[in-house]
Amino acid sequence: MAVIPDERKALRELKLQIEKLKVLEEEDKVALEFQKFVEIPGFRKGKVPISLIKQKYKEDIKNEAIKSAIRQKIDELRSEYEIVSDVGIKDIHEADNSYEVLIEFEVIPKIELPDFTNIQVDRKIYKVSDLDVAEYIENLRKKFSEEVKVEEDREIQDDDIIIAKMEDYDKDGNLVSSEDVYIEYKKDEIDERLYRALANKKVNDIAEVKFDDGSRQVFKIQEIKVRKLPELNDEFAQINGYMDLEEMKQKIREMLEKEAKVRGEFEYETQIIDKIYEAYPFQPPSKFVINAYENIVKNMEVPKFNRKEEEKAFQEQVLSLAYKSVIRELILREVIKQKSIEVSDEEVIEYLKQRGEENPEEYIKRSKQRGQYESIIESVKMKKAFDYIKNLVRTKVIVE
Amino acid sequence: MDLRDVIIRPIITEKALRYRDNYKIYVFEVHMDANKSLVKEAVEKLFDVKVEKVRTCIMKPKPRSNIRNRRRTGYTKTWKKAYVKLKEGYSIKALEGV
Repeated sequence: MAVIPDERKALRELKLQIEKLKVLEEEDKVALEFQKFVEIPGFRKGKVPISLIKQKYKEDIKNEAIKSAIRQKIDELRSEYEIVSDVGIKDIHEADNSYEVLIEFEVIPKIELPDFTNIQVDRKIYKVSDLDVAEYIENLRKKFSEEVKVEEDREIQDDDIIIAKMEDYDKDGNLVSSEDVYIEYKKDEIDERLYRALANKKVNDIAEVKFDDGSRQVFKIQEIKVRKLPELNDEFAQINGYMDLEEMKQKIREMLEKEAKVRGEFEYETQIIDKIYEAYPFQPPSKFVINAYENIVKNMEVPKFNRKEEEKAFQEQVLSLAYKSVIRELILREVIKQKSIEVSDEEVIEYLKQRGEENPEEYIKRSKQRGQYESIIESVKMKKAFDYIKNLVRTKVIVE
Repeated sequence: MDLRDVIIRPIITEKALRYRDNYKIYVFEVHMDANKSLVKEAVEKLFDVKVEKVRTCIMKPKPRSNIRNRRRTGYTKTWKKAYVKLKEGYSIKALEGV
């Protein structure tokens, strides 16, 4: 991994000097705040003398006063350093006339842009073949398939569906768990040991899989089913919302072509961003990455995980996606800044039309009312910045 | 009785502080068996001041209730309170900061 210089890191540390006099001033303010809610027997609420409060809550007031003084100092620094995160206090050291405070915060790192004309990328154009369309339709047929029980004495064959009661035993032979499982009997899709254990078995047979650590799984086969696919005809097309089979094939092809285009474009853009980042790597603020991560998770259906490792792998995958999206955004923002990219109303309308808005003027009006117009402008600027980069990089087109 | 046992604690309440600030009267909880002269002697010795006048009163017990079930669970203790007025120019330093 490339070493990132300090100015290209988001995390910064800073030593602050807070004068004790300032803390004393703050102590008076804090004590006044304490007075509002402190309850001491013998005094009505809000009537406890400040001197008594200061005496009784000496340490609390002092700590709060230091924090308050630090907060004020940080507020002054916020605009100077363009702080984008919360500020953490790492250390407080008491000197003679002041407190030395070590704080930690994140800023937008320095982003250097390479000469885009030196960047070379491959642009893959994915073609949709008849085979792709046929495969898609086959999957659709599987989705609408019917599961039919086979005769009791028939042995398991490839592509069968097995419903079995699975019992998990540990190495000492104790039953750990027991549950009904649904197995699609395909050599490439299930564990090889299980595939071999289930071979030639019939209903009510028992298959056993032994593991190296001494534990084992026992499968009591309850049902064997086959998948009966629906006929591929006009009726099937109509069930799926098409007029006839021909139209279905045509529409599916169009959809796959659209998907392939999006995929190709995404890969192309990712490659460009990766190359720019490789040239001048930087560390994005973790707060941005966390926000992006949360946004991705919010907009997707998170699967249920049986094992902790699966969940961890999923989180890492999404986190890497979030990291890349932040890098992309920061690079594009830098291009917008350096090249002073502005957008006209016509460009916004064109962008919305491309996005599929039927009435862009009305959409703009509504978004202005909701206060979302700025984010649309930002998106158009980003797109324009990317188009600017795409025009400069050297692209090699590869048709797949 | 040892003089150090006479004064149990200073009373610090709104009213007591008002007495202190306006009339130079300090309020203490004192030993039930302590009389005015004993209180005077104790305050003078302990705080190095001159006492002009002492007034005492016995605080009657108040019903005490259990906070949890709000049932009466007895009474608070009986105690003696002393109002000690100091002579002009004297003050109890230990109680000034409050």
